Amino acid sequence: MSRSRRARTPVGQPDKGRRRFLLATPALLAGAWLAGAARRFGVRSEAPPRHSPRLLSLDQADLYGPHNLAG
Amino acid sequence: MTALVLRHWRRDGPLALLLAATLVAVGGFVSRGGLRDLAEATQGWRRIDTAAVLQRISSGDLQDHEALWYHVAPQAAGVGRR
Amino acid sequence: MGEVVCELCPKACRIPEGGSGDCRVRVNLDGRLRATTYGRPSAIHIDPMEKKPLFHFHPGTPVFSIATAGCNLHCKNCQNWQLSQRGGEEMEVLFRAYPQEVVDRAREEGCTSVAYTYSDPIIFSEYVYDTAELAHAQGLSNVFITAGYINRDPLRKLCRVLDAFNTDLKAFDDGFYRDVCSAKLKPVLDGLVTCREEGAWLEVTNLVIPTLNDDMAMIRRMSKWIRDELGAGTPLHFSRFQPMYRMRNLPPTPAESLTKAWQEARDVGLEYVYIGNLYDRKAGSTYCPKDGTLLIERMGFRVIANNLVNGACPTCGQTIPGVWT
Repeated sequence: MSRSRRARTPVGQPDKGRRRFLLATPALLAGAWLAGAARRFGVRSEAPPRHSPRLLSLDQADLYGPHNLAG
Repeated sequence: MTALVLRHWRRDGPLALLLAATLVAVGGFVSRGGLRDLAEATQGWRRIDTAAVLQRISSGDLQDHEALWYHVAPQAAGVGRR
Repeated sequence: MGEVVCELCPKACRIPEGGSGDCRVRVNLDGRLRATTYGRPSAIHIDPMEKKPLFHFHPGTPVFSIATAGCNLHCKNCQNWQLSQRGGEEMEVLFRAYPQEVVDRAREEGCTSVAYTYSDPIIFSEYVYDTAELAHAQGLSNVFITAGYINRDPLRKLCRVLDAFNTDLKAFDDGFYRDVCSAKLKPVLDGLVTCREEGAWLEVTNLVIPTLNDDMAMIRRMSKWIRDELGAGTPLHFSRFQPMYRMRNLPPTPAESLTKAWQEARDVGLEYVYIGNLYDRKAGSTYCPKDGTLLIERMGFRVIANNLVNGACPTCGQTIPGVWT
C-alpha cells in the first residue's frame, strides 16, 4: 500500500476499498468458474442449431438450387 | 515483490491464498476436463444430448437403424458403468 | 447396458450407453450401435460430376448427391463443417429419403449416378450400401467422395457396390493428419491401395494449404507414392484452399503454389494432374499423355468438348484410363 494511501486511512479504521476488493474478487472468480463449468455440461456442438430439426420429404429438396457444399 | 509479501503477509496473505486456491482449482478443472475431452475426441466417443436423440427417434426424425461393423465390448471384471 | 466398440474406422470408438462415436451419428442405445442418420440426409443436390471432382468418370453427367450429418474427421479447414461437425439431432433440416426413394428420384431427374459426398459417407455406410445396391439393380452408378478414413473390411464390402471414388489425400505427413484432421495418414494410404485392389475407379484430391502442406518436397513424395502404388494413370486434383471454419487465419492458396504442385506431379510421371477451385483452362482439361491432343476441354465444372473416341485418343489411339460411358 502506498504511503499516501496509508496516510489517508486512519489507524485502526477498516480500508473499505480493500474490503470491497476482497469480496468482489472471489465472487467474480467463482462466477467465471461456474460459467465455464456450465459450458462443460452442455451438448458438444460446434454450431448449436437455431431451430428444431424439420423433417421434410424428398420432394421438398431444392435439388438445383445454389449451395456452397464442397464435393 | 517478495519483500512486500513478507512485510505485509497478515494483510495480503488471505488474498494471496484465495488467488492461489482459485488458480489451483481452475487449473485442476481445466486439466481434468480438458484431458477428458481430448481423450474423448481422439480415442473415441462423445457425450451427446441423448434425450434429444431419443426424442428425434421416437418422432421419426432420426432412426435407430442397427449399425453394421461393431461388437459389444467385453465387460472387465469389477468395472462399473462409466 | 454395456459399451460397444465400433469397427468402421480406425478410431475404434468404445462407446458407452447413450454416447456416440467420434463421428456424432453412431449412437449406443440399449447396448446396440445405431446409425441414427440412416435414410435421413440433410443435403440433397444434383451436381455436375466434375464437381466431385471426378474427371475420368462419366464426364459431363449430372449426379444425384446426398449426405447426412456427421464425420469421423474434424478438419480445421472443413468447408462443409455445418454439416460434418454436427449430429443428426443438431441439424435444422432432415429429409426422409430411404434408399429406394433416393434411387427413384435420381432416375426421375435423369441422373445416371448417385454420389455419397459432402460430409463423409463412411459414417453413413449402411445407408450407402443399401442405396448403392438398389442403384446398381436399376442401372445407376455409385460414386463415393471421402477422406478415406475407414477400416479395410468395411471398405471392401462397400467396393462391391461402388463404382468410383474420389479420396482426399490431405497431406503426405502424419503430423498434418493429427494436428489438422484428428486422424492418421497410414489408414488413408491403406484405403487407397484397397480401392485399387478392388478395381474401383479412383481419383485423388489434395487441398493445398499455405504453410501447412504446400511443401514441394512433400508433394513430390506424395506424387511418387501415387505413381508407384496407384499407377501413373491415377488422376490427381490439386485444389485451392479458402479460409474456412477454424482456419481463417491463413490466406487462400496462391495460384503459383498450385502451378508448382501441378508441375511437381507431372515431373514425377503422373499423367493426369488437374487444378481445382481456380480457373485454369489448361490445368482443368484432359490431354493425351502420348501426343498432347486435347481430349476433354473443361471450363470450371462444365465440359465444353469431349473428343474421346471409345475411351481413346482420336489421333494416336492411346487408351485413356477412366470410365467413359
